Amino acid sequence: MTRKTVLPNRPRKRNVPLTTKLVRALLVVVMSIMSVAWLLPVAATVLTSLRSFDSILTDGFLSLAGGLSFDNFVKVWNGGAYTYMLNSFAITIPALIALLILASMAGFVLSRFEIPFARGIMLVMLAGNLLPQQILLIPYNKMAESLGIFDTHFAVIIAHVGFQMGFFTFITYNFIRQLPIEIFEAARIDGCSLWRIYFNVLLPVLRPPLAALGTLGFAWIYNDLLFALALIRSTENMPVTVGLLSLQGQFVSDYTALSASALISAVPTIILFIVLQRQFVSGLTVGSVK
Amino acid sequence: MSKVRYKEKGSEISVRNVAAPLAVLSSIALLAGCATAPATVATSPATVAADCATTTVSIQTWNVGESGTEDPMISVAEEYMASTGNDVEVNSVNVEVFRSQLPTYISSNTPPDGLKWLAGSTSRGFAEEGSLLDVSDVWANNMSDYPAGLKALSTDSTGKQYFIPTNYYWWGVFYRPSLFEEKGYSVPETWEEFTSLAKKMESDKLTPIAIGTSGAEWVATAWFDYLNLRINGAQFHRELLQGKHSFTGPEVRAVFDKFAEIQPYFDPNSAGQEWQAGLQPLYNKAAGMTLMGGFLPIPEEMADDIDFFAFPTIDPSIPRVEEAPTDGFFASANTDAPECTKEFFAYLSTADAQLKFIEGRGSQIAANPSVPDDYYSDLTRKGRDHLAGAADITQFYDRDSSQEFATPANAANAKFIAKGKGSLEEILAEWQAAAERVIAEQTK
Amino acid sequence: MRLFRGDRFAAIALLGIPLLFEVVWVMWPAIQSIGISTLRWNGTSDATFIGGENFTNLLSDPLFMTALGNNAKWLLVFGVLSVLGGLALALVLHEQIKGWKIYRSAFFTPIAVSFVVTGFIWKWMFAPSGVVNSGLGAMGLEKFVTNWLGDEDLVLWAVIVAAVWRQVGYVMILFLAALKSVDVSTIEAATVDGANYWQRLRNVVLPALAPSVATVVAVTVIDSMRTFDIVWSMTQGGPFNSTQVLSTLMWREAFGNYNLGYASAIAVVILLLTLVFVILYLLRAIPKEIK
Repeated sequence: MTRKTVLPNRPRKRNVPLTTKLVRALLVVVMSIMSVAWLLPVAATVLTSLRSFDSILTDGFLSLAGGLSFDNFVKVWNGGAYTYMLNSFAITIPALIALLILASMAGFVLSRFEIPFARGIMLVMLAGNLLPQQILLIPYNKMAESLGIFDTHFAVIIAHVGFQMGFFTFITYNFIRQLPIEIFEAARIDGCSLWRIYFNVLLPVLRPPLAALGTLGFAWIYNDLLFALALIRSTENMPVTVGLLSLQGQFVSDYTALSASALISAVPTIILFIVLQRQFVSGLTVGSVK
Repeated sequence: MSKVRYKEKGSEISVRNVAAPLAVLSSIALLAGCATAPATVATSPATVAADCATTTVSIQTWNVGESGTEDPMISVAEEYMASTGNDVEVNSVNVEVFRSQLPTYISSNTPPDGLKWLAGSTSRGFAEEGSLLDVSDVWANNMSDYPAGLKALSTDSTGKQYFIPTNYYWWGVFYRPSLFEEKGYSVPETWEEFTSLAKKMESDKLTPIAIGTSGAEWVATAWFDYLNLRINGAQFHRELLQGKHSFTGPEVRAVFDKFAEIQPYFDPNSAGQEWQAGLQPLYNKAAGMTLMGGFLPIPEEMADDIDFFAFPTIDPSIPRVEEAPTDGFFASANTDAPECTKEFFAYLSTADAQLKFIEGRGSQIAANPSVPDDYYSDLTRKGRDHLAGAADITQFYDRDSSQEFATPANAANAKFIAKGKGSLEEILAEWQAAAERVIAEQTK
Repeated sequence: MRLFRGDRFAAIALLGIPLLFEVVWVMWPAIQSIGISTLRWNGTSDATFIGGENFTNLLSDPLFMTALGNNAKWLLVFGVLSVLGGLALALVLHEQIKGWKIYRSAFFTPIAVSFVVTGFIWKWMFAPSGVVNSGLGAMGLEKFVTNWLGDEDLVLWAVIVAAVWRQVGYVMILFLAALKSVDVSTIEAATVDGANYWQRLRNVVLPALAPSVATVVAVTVIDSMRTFDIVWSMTQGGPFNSTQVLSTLMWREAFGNYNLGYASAIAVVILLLTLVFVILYLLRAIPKEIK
């Protein structure tokens, strides 16, 4: 893939006509209003989560009456949110690790060796990620039951590893293709075996795409609903996406508690977002999938 | 040391793994102990107890995952084992897992001995096909004082009992007595009184009927059920739910004629709020009444200010039927320990055992009528008497038919209550078509 | 690079395990689903082969038609709004007007939450006494206050609003990245030639963006067909089936009614509807240089 021009794409400073200045000023106004509108739902949720249910009933959603407190968070944490979060991590982390390892392996072999039908293999793998999840749910359900892993984290982990394998491999494949072949040849000349090359030469260099994939993959797997809903039934095994639905069954119209649980569940991805935003974005833009 | 081995897993394999070796053990025990004992009920307790001490009765039950609470089955089993020395093993799974695996449990060659489930057409269906153990002797020996309605519920078409009810709750029209007093309302008994009460409430600027159907469209079907029971009677109702009558026929039309009379009085927000949110106006005295089950949550400050009345009479010649969804137990006909299972069932039919099932769940009523009156709140006691006086008991639409059959019903009734798009003809035609599809699926 | 003899095993393992996962855990189940769609099966008792009967039943099922219609509406409205909206935002922010980084973060924030959380947030927003109605009231627009999620005519659009809210930032980021890599010199040449903004946009920028647009459109179509999370958490397909989409219908048939054959048929329909776009996307994504 050729690299396009990466000069900063900023308009040069020159005599800017009044119309342009006006337009830009107007855009600032419009963008500001839209940004506020875009952040409003999240802000409203934060506000609601800090209030008490009774004050919502009496004063409605858009007021600060009744005082603010973290009671809802405590209530929801003890009411199941803690368990759900643990389960989410118990599913996401192993799946992610497995995916990163396996995808880097596959990408390496596909890109650096003469493999017959490489393109076909790549197509098959990427296609897997584009299938509607619905086509997999019933077979997964039955397979899990017959293997005795129904209602376990393991079943969900395997489902995610399979489903995301294609995209992860695609990314590593593209990245490794761009690496200078010299580093591999040098290792080859030194007589390194394939495994050695993989561990000592490739992995250290793979950090950027692995970071991007890790970030993006964490968000996808953590936020997934369908696989978990199809494979997990007991509340003590539920990850946070399914758990939220279950909490809704418990707290029903207690929006204050539900807001708190929604926010708690979003904390890991929000943190990931803020800390690793660059990796996140680069993961999104490479291949432009999902 | 407790001998209850309590497992909470969603895996089928755990049940099979346990059941197989146990089946061998129990059959040996039975052969050894019961070979000379007569096969009838008149086995002396001593002989049976001797067998059951070495036979493990496996009970498959379900929970709804209330965090922090233990399945009450455990303490019931522990009591039983402590007092009789018999062995019981309890396996509790999530209710949805149970529901989907129930057919497997029943048809398995090594089934769990006893299963907890709901009364209704699913249980009845298993009984009619001969998959359930005949427990008539338990009824004869231990349950003769049970209300007729419950016995009818547990009896199959050949007159044998297959079901041991343990707890149930009632349905009624709930209201705030203080509000009624304030506005000078009186409790209606006939349909005319009911509709004019609703009209008066409307002119008093109240929402006459509180209701919320979002995510719980079955709440709407309660109205259909009761109207149908009051107009067409229990037999027609049960047959309709088995697909033997048409929803576009004159009987159902008659139901909707009456339904239309109160259509204007339902909370206009019904489709946009959950059923709990739909009760809020009742709590705030902004609404007059609601048709609900005894599980209706009662805020503490209103504990003395909630009451209910029976759904009004429409046709005085039709006996009063009430809805009372009932939990209980049945056993697979393939069980290897029928006598010991029945002995456990006999224990389950006692008031002591049932009290454990209803503990902390204020609206539940024990099936055994000899639970002391003062155990129940005034409201629950009234509910119990309300059901005891009913000529027949039905189980609610989805339990008397099936979840699949109930889904189009719920949508149709919720739509009618919310005054949704489409004429009554269209709603009923769609309902009938969906019902036919389900019946066709089930009979092939 | 050459494979040493001893490497053959390693190569097979390195590629083979991931490939095995893909085949066993994705391809095989997909084929199984297609197979199940020809059966009548409740998951426990015996299955009966009925050929294409599930599909003919689908065609006469009004709920299926409702779901198809809803997916079509979703595709059109959600698709157009999120793609064009994202593009417009990207174009504006690309100009780097004052505060553009803040706006970018504002639009991107919804991506941090899952669709389930998005559904919940908007469920409260649209509740009878929720933020939307309260806001309308506060602005003096009482006549627009209504039962958003209880009204069959409005509810699907409400769900789409929620979905667009979340999606637009994502599309915006994609286009922003694509815009960054448009060749600056071509734009400058066009400016020198006297082209105004719109002409530059039409003749230089948009053509350069065409591959990204194609990708975004393909992914949007695929996601429109398989959308589930947000509908499920907001309405579960209700009220009275007015927001049923193919995926929620499939769910109900599979795990509510245990009609596994019928449900699989719906899944196959979803697959077929997305297949064209999947293939188009794939052909673009995999460069032809691979042998």
